This record gives sequence, C-alpha cells and structure tokens, in this order.
Amino acid sequence: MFLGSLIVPKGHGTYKIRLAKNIIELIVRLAEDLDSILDQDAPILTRLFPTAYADNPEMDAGYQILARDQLVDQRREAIDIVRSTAENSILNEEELAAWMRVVNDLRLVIGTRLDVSEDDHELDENDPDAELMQVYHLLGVVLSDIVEAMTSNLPLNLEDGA
Amino acid sequence: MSGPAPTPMEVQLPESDVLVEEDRPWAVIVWNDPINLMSYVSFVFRKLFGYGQAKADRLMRDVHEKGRANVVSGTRSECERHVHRLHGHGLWATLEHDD
Repeated sequence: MFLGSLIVPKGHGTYKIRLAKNIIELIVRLAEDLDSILDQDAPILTRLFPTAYADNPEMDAGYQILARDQLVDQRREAIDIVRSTAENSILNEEELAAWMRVVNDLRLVIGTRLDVSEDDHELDENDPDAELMQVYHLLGVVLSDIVEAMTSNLPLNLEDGA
Repeated sequence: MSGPAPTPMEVQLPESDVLVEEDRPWAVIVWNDPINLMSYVSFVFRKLFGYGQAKADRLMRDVHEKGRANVVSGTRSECERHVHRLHGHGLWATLEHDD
C-alpha cells in the first residue's frame, strides 16, 4: 500500500516525487519501448494519433500530414524529459507535465493492447494479461496523483461559467 | 507547438450566435473513451482552455455520460489547433461544423 500521495506540491511550481525506484525504472523502460515504435504505423498507437475530421477523410489526411510528425516530436521530447529527470526527487512544472503526458500515453497504449472497457475493474490472476493489467492499474495510480498535484497549482478561474 | 507543457490559455467563446457566412463556426468535440481518467480529462480542459474546475468537470461528465461534448468553438483553424493540442494530451478530439 502507498501511504499518502506519490507526488507532493512543494510550492513555487515544484513537486516532491515519492515514487519507488522500481516504479520509476518501469516507467522509463516502458517509455523507451514506446519511443522505439512511435514512428511506426502500428494499430496499438491508434489512440495517440486520432482522426481529427471523423466524417471527412480528405480534410483528415490534410491534418495528419502536418500533425502526425509534430505529435511524434512532442512525445519524444516528453520521453526525453522523463529519461533525463528519472533520478530527480524534485521536478518543476514542465518536467512533471512531461511525466504526466508520458504516463498517460503509456496507459493509452497498454489500455489499447488490453482492449479495456469501462467495466474492466477486476484483476484475474489466471488471465495471461494479468501482469500487464497490473501495470495499467499502477500507471493509473501514478497518473491520478500527478493530476491531483498539478490541479492544486492551476490558477483559480473566478469567472467560471459552469 | 514547441514544448511538452503549453501554458494555460484563455479562450474567448463567442458571445452571440451571429454567424459570418464565410466562416461558419466549428466545434471541437471530445469523445468518451474507456481509458482516460476523469480527473485527467478535467485537468486538460482547465489547462488548455483556462476553464474553472466546475466548468471542466461539467464538460468531462458530458463526455463520460453522453459520449461526447462540445468543449470549445471557433474558426476552423482555431479548432484545428485545439484538436491538435488535445491529441497531444491523448484525448480523442475531432472538429466539425457547429450547426
């Protein structure tokens, strides 16, 4: 069990990272695996590069020509930040944002691989994908704590027209 | 886009329904998916569009419960830029005419 949040805001846009070393190593390793397939046309990457024009293939092709390469580059930049800050116990806003995006990308890829649905909450030890499902859930815990920490540092919007 | 961490940006929503013929408004739609965390989706709406927590949560719940939500409107190029940033954050976003 984890005691308290894994990511603790320390003020001045910095965050204390309380992730165990083996979890950080797992995230870095998965991120490097993702990096190595990012420019492939693999079905497992579908969620990272969605269509922009659902009912107009021609317009979508135009979008993809420009967007795809930029999205790959942004993801590589975020993975580079994760790799280079993996041993830091304090991260700044930009660095933690990169961790957030990488962890979310990993969840999207693993979730696609596992074909998860809204109802998949049970862990079945006999499932051949049980280990991957555990990784998926672990990444969810990490992401949730990153989001909670970063949300606490967002500027207040007093004119919220909800 | 230059870096992995875009700064929060205020988006001016159209105040009225006045349509300019040559540039009918477009809408950015975010679709429900079983993977993204609800708190993450709200966070991305706040960060990218400068929305408050209540508005971001309302849009997130629409995505989750109704299957889709119109999160922002504008010209085609504005909406394409928003969609691109949402794709960078792993959200399933499309743009369409705001009819």
